[in-house]
Amino acid sequence: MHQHYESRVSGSWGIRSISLVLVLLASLGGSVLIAQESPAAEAPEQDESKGLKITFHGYLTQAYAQSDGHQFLGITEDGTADYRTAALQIRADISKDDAFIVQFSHERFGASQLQNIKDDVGLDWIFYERRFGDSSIKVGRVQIPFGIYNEVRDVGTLLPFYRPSHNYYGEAAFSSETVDGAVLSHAFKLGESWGLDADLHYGNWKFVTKNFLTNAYTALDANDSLGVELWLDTPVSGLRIGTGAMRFDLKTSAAAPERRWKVYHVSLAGDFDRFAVHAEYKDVDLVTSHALTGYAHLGVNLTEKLTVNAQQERLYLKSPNLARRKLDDDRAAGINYAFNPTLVLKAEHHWNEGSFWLEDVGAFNIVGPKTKYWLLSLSTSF
Amino acid sequence: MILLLALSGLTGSVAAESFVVIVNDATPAAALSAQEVSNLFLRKMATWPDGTPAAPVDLSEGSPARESFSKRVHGKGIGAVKSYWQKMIFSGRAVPPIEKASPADVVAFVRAQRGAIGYVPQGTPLGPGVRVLNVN
Repeated sequence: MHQHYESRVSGSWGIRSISLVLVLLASLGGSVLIAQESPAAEAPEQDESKGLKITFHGYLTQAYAQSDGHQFLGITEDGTADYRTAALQIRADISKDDAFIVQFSHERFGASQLQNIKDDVGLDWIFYERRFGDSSIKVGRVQIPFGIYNEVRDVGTLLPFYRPSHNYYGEAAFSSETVDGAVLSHAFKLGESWGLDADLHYGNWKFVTKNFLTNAYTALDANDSLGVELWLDTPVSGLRIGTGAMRFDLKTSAAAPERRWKVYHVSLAGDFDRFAVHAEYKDVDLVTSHALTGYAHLGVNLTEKLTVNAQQERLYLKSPNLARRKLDDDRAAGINYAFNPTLVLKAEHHWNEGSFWLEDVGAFNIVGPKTKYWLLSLSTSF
Repeated sequence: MILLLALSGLTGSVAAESFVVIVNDATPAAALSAQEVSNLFLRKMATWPDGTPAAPVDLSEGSPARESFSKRVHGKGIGAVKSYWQKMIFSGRAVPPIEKASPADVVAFVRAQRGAIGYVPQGTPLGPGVRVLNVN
């Protein structure tokens, strides 16, 4: 049974949720003002651990994109400036151990039919966090810790290209940025130079899937999702190694039985003074086959502000008794100029082979067409 | 003399501005490693060993002492630390320490806040209620 994604956040529910959040924040702020009007009885030692603090953060990436023919993830031969990601985050630190955070987002995908299931302004996440020692729990609509970029997949100032690997993190790439449920986290200290961050999540999320005949996108319910994520900080400053696994139940159509899908990944993240290297591999067990995807990225800082990036990513489908089929092969080269860490200009070029992500032809062609596309984007955050 | 020897454990290079790490007098810790100081500022450690909430305070970005502190304690430049904080903010995990415009403001904050830790250029007058932390 398909449940249209739009019914979750569009129309009255979306506007109602935004209004509710604003009313809650106004109430919290009002409580603070009332408290501040009371004369202080204690000595005036400033204590940052008490008192509500509200902070605002946000990001915006605006791009112009064009392809040399086929439509690739909304990028057409005519070019488009309707390509952007943005978000506004409101964070209320209620105490040193409690926080309430909400983030709204806006995303445009050019000519892609993905627009049909995306609201102009949507609720990215909304959750309450309670910290206790080196642990914390978040409940609500929470980001799923998964891989290097899942929690920050749309924050342009943190990405080497406009977006992270589309095969690994993209819409309809067997992933979700958030879960409606809970995330439990703990930081283990393993001596002075090692550390292990562990996250456990449970809940439901929307699985965006693409119809490869019509190129339309729909959202299915991924239920009973349970996952674990581990990240090891090594004594080499900037070098982290991660791995994770998750499983969820999914019905791909009304007539299909609910099946349990599993996802496994390994990741390597090295962020150093003069260069950065990132590599990830993901295996999605689709029960009847496996989707295998991976990418490798190298970025070199030519100067403090100028960085060149190169990336290769691939997507394969492996079915029993059949040879592995390559569905997508994307090579990218780009150059970034960081006016400062929160304002970055990017120019990137992609050479793509395969029809899996094309939106004007059918997918699963064995010998896919070749498409070039490029993007010029400006990212900012605060 | 002992204080000078302690300070020699972690000061900036000759080219950059030398700094000292300071804490509120009530802080029980006598010494920390550079890694532990970094963990406090990056909020990987939220409390002092006695459970007192840690309250790190940074100097503003343009401060030479901040650049020195970032390179010597965090092992990376201010830009890289800013990128770290962007990741923390947009993954909803944490927000950076507050920033003060001047060393005098940092000293005043550390004096007034139990559990506070900051850094100032070497030679900054500290006054009562604040002491230098030995950093190994």
